[in-house]
Amino acid sequence: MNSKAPLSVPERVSPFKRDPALLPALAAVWVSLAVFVLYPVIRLFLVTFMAEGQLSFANLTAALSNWYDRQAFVNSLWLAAAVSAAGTLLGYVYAFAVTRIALPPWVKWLLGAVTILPLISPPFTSSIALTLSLGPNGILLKLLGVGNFNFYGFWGTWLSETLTYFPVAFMTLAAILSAVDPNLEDAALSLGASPGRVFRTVTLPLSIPGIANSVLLLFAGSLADFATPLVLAGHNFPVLPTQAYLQITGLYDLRGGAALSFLLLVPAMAVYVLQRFWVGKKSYVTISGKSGARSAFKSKGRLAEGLVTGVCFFVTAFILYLYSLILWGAMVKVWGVDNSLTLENFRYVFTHGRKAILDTLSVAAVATPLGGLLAVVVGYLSQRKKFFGNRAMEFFSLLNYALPGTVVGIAYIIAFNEKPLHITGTMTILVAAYMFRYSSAGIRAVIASLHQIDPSVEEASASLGASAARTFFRVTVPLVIPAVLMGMRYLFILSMTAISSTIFLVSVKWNLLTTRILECMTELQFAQACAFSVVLILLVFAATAVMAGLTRLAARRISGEGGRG
Amino acid sequence: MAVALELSNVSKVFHKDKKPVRAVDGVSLSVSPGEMVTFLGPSGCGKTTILRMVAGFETPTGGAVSIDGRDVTNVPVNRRDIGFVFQNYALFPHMSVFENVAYGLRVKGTGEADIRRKVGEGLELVGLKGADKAFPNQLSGGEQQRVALARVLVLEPKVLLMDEPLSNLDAKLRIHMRTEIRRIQKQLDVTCLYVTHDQGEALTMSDRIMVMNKGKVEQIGPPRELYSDPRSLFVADFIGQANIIPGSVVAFDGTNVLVSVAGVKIGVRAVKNASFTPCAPAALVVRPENLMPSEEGMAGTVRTATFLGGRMEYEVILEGGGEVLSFDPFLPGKKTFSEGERIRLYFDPSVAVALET
Ligand SMILES: Nc1ncnc2c1ncn2[C@@H]1O[C@H](COP(=O)(O)OP(=O)(O)OP(=O)(O)O)[C@@H](O)[C@H]1O
Ligand SMILES: [Mg+2]
Repeated sequence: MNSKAPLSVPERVSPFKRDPALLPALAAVWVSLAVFVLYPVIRLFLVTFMAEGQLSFANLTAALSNWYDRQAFVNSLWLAAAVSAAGTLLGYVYAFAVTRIALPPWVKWLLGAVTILPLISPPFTSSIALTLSLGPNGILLKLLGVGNFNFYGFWGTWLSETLTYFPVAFMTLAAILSAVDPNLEDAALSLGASPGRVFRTVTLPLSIPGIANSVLLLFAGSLADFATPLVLAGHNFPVLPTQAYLQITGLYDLRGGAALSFLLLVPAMAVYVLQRFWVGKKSYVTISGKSGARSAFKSKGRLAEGLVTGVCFFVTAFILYLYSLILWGAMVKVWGVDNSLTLENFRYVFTHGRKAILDTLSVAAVATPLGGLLAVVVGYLSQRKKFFGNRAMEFFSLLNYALPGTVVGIAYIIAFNEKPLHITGTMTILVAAYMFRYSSAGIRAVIASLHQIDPSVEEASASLGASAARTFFRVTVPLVIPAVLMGMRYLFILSMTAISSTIFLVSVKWNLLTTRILECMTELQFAQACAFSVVLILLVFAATAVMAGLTRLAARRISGEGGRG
Repeated sequence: MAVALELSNVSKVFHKDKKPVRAVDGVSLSVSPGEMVTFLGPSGCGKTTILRMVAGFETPTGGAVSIDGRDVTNVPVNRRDIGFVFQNYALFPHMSVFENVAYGLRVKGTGEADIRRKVGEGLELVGLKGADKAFPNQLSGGEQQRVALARVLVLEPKVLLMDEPLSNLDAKLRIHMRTEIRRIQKQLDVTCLYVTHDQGEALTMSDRIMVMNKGKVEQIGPPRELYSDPRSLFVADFIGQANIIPGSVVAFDGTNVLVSVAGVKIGVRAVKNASFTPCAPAALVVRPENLMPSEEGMAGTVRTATFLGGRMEYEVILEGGGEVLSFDPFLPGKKTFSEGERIRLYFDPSVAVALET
């Protein structure tokens, strides 16, 4: 970037003159985005499309002509479609129950709490529990008296991914449903419509933007999911992320892996673009103004309410069952063989797994504040400063998150395994992978909160004689702190629980808890896998509780100061 | 055919943070067919809650609502035949103006040709002919308000309920729309309940006004009666500007009362059903336009004098304590007072009223 870049507001003084800190900040952001986002993707493209020193489709055609890989491509899309449909439906049912039905507060709390569990658990949790219940010798199978039932393949993966991802749909849809002005439903009722008709003609159409968003999010999530199919898909149901992984770690075929991850990248990018440019625009802004009284919940009809609550209770009970299974699994000697209780597995975790625990915590602890800083700077620059390329900056800062983790992981080993940036095997690469991939939530939150804060607040500070830097640190930063902390919490959780990108990046020197769980699973050490999962969930829980407390404190301080000032 | 509406001893208790709040407390009201009654009162006094109970959005904790002689307390809102105009209009943002207005007709199963005709008529009635293809977010606040009105009017509801329908509009449009609404309401001869904060609106539009305070009815009556015969200090203060002058009772004969105010004995009308006892405190309600400088009357000192074109406004501190406002029509050559000057104020006792305190 140079200072002669065309300005979108020509009559103003160059922003770089008014604000001397802008140029270095901008340069730092662009350099890091170039190195950790653009460069790996470009290298991935080069490896995919270069064969023997020239441009060619050879790698791609090789992958596409392989029957098994083609099947993986089709399976991936089909699985993603099925998961996104089922997850969105389930999420809608939950969101409807919480926002539209008069349930006692503790029931709503329970429904919300249960949807948090999959979000903070490592991606294997439901796979492990499902294997223990429905896999060979599964306890649910024994209970139901079903003898041979092959759960591996599409159904197992679909079930597990639906349970893992529906909370995302729930959060998206609950937000949209609670934003639909209850007066609109009241108005339809007062015009004579029955509750069913109100749902069909008002509630449902108004939640379509949320549904579309949720479908896309879940599609992308399932498409990129690596852990679940690795455990549950089996050989008869290959999917792209696991195929790419096996290609690289099993066959040492970097080109083949790159080609497969390129196949994965295409639908993922399509979803990202659709989401940004189509769903983003299609939302109904509610007309402002005092909306009158809060509406009490009106009956939606016995049958509908019974059905919705019934589904919620059943799913909630099933999730609680799965998690208690993990806890139980962690405390028995040998699963299915010797069911006597023991703490041996936890001892194993804290001795043999000690290094992984410390490594995971250190990586997360370093990535989280750096990611928070990135979120503030990118969010602020792209939202408040008008200069050429700030849309592109926002796009690239969110790109790594849109790409499936497997793609990012493969791109990173291609890019950073040789000079000039030979950092594979170090902590840096793990931190970078997490920081540039998972700060997206923080960036979005900062942008959203800056959107709500009127620029006149900052202008007031400037008019009182504060420099741009002072305004930024004394006015803007305190106002966006809650958003940043929220983003950091999210970054921390994912840094603790993610595996898809970092499975390629761990080394003897730096190992992670999630990869240890995977090792235990592949060696059929279910008890140890369960114990690792329990410890990881508890760690995440404790850390997020602390950060949630900090967020609340910061929010209180800010509103408190606002009140006094 | 307009219908009657009856509220008998209606109450509503909400639970806020586990504590019960009596939002509406034993309200009774009977509205005759075709009448327009406005609810006036400070924020939070329960106006919206009453309206929502009449609509059926809220179930009363006690009491009954009947429309056209039929008890509808437990009838769901979609079978009550009411039209509700929301403060924020609540237009369906995903439907065009036409579809918004046609919504209720479609629910009823009206034929397509009839729908087209009625929607056209409805939009014409509110002066929005030809806007049927627009979407709500393409309309101005006043236009949205009129669509909301048309949407309920095409259904020919038995009762029209409006909750501060004009509060999001600018002052000029408000004045225009209030005459429009009143015209349409009379033309269609529909019974109407109307909630407002704005006493100007209440005084100009209604057949009767119900003044509320803390969930209870303070007074119900035609606008002029409320102005000239406020039943309580609250009503006196809430409707128009009022001087409330403290005094003490000298004698009482059932309809008139002799009160001693600022050293002067004055005979005025007593509030209905009053029981004044000699020497008890009383309060005189005197409108500022009835309190004018003169040779005799209550003595005091001018605190501020403001020239408003058509009149002078004096804030006067009375000798016996208390502060009053006086409006004196301004004519060239007439004596005006300035700040700090001594002044005597006189009022016509026949248009003042004494209340118990
Ligand atoms: N759904 C509800 N739950 C709890 N309390 C409520 C609810 N609706 C209203 N209230 C309370 O009932 C009281 C009366 O509210 P209401 O909305 O009827 O007042 P209002 O006279 O319409 O006020 P405004 O002029 O501000 O619109 C208030 O104290 C309010 O907080
Ligand atoms: Mg109200």
